[in-house]
Amino acid sequence: MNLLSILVKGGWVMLPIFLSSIIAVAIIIERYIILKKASINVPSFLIKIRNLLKRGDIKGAIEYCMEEKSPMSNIVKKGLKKYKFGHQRVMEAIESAGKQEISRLERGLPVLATISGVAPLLGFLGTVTGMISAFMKIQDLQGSASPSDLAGGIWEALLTTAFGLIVGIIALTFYNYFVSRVNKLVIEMELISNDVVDVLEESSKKEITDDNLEIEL
Amino acid sequence: MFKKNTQNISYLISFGFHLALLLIFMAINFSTQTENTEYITVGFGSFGNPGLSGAAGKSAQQRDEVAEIEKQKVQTDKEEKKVELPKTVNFDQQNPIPAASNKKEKEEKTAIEKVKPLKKTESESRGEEFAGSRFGSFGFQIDFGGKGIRKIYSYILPQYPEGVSKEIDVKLKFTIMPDGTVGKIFPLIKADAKLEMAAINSLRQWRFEPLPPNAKQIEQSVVITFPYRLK
Repeated sequence: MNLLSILVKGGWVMLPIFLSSIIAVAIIIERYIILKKASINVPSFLIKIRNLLKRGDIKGAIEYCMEEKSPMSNIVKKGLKKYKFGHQRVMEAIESAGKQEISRLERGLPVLATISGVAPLLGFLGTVTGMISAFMKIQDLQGSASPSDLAGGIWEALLTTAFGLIVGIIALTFYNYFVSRVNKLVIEMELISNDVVDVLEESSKKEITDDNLEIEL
Repeated sequence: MFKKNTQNISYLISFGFHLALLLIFMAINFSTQTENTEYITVGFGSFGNPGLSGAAGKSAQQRDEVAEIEKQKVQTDKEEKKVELPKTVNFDQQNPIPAASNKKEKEEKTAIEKVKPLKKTESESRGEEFAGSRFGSFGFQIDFGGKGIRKIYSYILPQYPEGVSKEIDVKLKFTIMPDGTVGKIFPLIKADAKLEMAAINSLRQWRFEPLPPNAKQIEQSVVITFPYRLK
């Protein structure tokens, strides 16, 4: 008896559990890649941006942000692009860019949360359908059912519960991990954007040449 | 574009991962065979898993009844197996012999009388532990040894052989085959050949529950003591 034939005994409820497992693993892989790329060395990024802004090199700062290709550099870039419209516009641009980046980072996580909740419930549904089939068998055999007659229903009940719980546990664990990673990134974004705004306010006191304001919009 | 690519790649990886998992599951074979101990205890169903078929799994009184029924069956079989004698023909009119039918009736009556009532009254059975039949000179006290449990489906108790007046315990070690039949029998304590033979002959006819098909098919050893006591 191989393990696959045992899985087949789980019945039709195993199919949605299997499908949710495929989706969950895909989201886990995708989010892992995205979040891995989103994380940058915050101190070195801040030092470079600060230096460029203190020198009044807004263009250079924007180019550096375009090179970095991370959610944080995107936020700073969008803010800097609005520099010539005043500090208020810069703040608004950073806020809206931040919201967009957070929503991109959190993409797929609601689905993962749903799978972590639904997979065990599908398992319990399998338990119920398995028990129903077992009791129907008892009724069909008018009480003289042997354990082997009931084995099919019991197999279904136990296997779906087990696999539903396995998928649910894995999905919930990764969901919580990704949420904590996103929260950490959001805190870093806030830190960087506040710092950028502070530096811009300081540098605004200085005279800005027309060359510095030649920004590609 | 990058995100779309990542999404597609991750779905492909996930699908491949599940496919590989299924292939691994196909490759993993395992048996659900249960291990049995080689040295076991035999029982009449009063211990171990309840609800088994046969005489095992019934209450002490029910088992008494089952044993009684079996005994009755054996007796009636003996009655039935009697050789039919040729019918006598009476040529002497002055000296008639009783009709054959009357004789048969009489025989049946005596056969019925020999069979003891199945049910004991509550006062009779109170305080008795199940120890099998108490007829004849063989007190049904059996000591079993071992760890696992193998239930007895049918048994015949040894009869006290004629010409022997000893009170001894015959200790036998025997093996139970996977199908429930008795295999080799070795006497552990040598005492009296006749008593030993009687015990061995009866033990040979015992039947135990067969091992389940998914269990490891092994011969299991049991030690049993038949205490022969004079009435």
